[in-house]
Amino acid sequence: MIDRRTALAGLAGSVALLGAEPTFAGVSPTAREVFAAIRAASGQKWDPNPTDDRIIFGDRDVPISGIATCFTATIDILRRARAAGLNYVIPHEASFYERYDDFAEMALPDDDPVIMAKKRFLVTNRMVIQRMHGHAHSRPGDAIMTGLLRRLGWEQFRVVGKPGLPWVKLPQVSALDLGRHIKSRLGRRTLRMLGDPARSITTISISAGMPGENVQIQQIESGADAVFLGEVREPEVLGYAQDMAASRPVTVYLVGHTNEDPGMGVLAEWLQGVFPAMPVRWLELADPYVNPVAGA
Amino acid sequence: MRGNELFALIERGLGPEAHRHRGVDAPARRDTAIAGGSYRAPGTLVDGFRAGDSDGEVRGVAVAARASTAVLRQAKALGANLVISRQAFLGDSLDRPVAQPEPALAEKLALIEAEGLMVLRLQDPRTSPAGRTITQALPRAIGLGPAHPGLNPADGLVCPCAATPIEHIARRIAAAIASSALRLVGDPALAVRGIAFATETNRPNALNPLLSRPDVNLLVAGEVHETETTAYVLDAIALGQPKALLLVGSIAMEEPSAKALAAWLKPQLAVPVAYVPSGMPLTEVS
Repeated sequence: MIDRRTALAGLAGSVALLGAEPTFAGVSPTAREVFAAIRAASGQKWDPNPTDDRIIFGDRDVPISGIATCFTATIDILRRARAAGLNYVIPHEASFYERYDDFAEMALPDDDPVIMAKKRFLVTNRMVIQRMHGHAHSRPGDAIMTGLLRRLGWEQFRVVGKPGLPWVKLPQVSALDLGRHIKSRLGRRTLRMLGDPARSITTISISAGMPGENVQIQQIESGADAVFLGEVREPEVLGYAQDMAASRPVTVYLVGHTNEDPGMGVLAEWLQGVFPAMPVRWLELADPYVNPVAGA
Repeated sequence: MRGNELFALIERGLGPEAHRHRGVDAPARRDTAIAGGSYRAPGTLVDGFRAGDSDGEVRGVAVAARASTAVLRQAKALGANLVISRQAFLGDSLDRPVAQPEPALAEKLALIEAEGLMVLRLQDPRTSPAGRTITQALPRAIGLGPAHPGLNPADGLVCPCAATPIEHIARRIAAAIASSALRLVGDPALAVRGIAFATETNRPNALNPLLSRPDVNLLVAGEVHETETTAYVLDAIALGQPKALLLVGSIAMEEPSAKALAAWLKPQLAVPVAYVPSGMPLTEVS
């Protein structure tokens, strides 16, 4: 929901952006200027601390030729970005295998060959990574949730006025068919499900990413027929569902953390408005998983 | 024999923990922890009584991958009043209490109270020969030999093997843990010569060093932090490294160890000991 304060801040950001636009005319902005423009246009009080929404890697003085958004800046995504001429990459999640991209907290040594190769690729190709996690969620309506519901085709089924995590109310469907819909719409090669496949489902509680077990357990207890989850800590969350199944019906879909990816497409749309003269593209990540024993 | 005495017997038999606590202290309650407490320090120990009066007389023992409510009921039906749980069973990786237990947890705690059950968490990798045998139950169940002796078992197990396609290994694991809800990052046809097993997996980015070892092609784990370990293996593969990650489910992965623990315990006790499958009913949507 957009409250008055958010709306005013957004307006102020737009004004600041309009003022900044001529600076970029005919000349490529630097990474520093791109980041400043994103902060200003966001209309949000930018706090990098919760999820490290900052320039993670790269030279801030590099001229930027285009922007790529993505779920995570894998080497494959970086290669695709380079091929498309996009050297400012905005991932939702961490890029260096530590949740805050904190090199001091990494279990890997600094000379790990994968880390070194990734850094080398970024430096060689004059690319910059700027993370956008918390500020993507706190876009009006939550860009990540908006993208997820849009991809699932459920925007029109969202229960209006329900506080907290969104519910959707669908025409009655079996749990298995609902799972097939989720799997197909999200382009997943795997989808794990807990519960009776024949159970009739109407209401679904939805969370994206990994909000933590307290939130996910509340979802399971929310009264919705089914629960759509991203990444879970299994003994805690799935275990809770297992316990609940001892006395009540429960249906859980484990969709994986990458269910946040479509939201970065929504972010790309917004950024295209912020940088109308610059190419902006969402680079989608294929489902990383296959089930090697499916059908065995 | 009382519950505490049984725990002491187990500790003597299985040996000291392979890792002692070396991280920051976690918040004391699950509901006060950041992000629900899903991140805990590597090396944090978990073994100990987490529910019930551990001073009670033991009449029978049930061993499970996870002491689910269904397992507790089955234990009661078998006449067991002490349940050993490999995995967390109170909605928190450290089985910490919560100020207001959610309904299914409240029902479970009420069941434990009403039936006079004791629940002992026992998952820390231990260092006696018997302790190592229990920790290595899954690799043994799929036909692998002993793990590399130079690695602390709390950091993981590394088992060499004759070149074997991952899809063959995955089938063996699915049979050993009675679950086909597996997820693989990598090429199912990749022939691997070194397999690493995560021995406890609710840890931030602690598994990447295991995967990055030159003698490891495949890491088998219950679950990972997807934005860390999955991301790392994707990049390693993109760079041409022969690496893969197989996620088998954190509860299901403990089934072989629970079975091995029950088998080790049985001849040592005068009371009945039974392995009770947790039976996590996950299916693949197809």
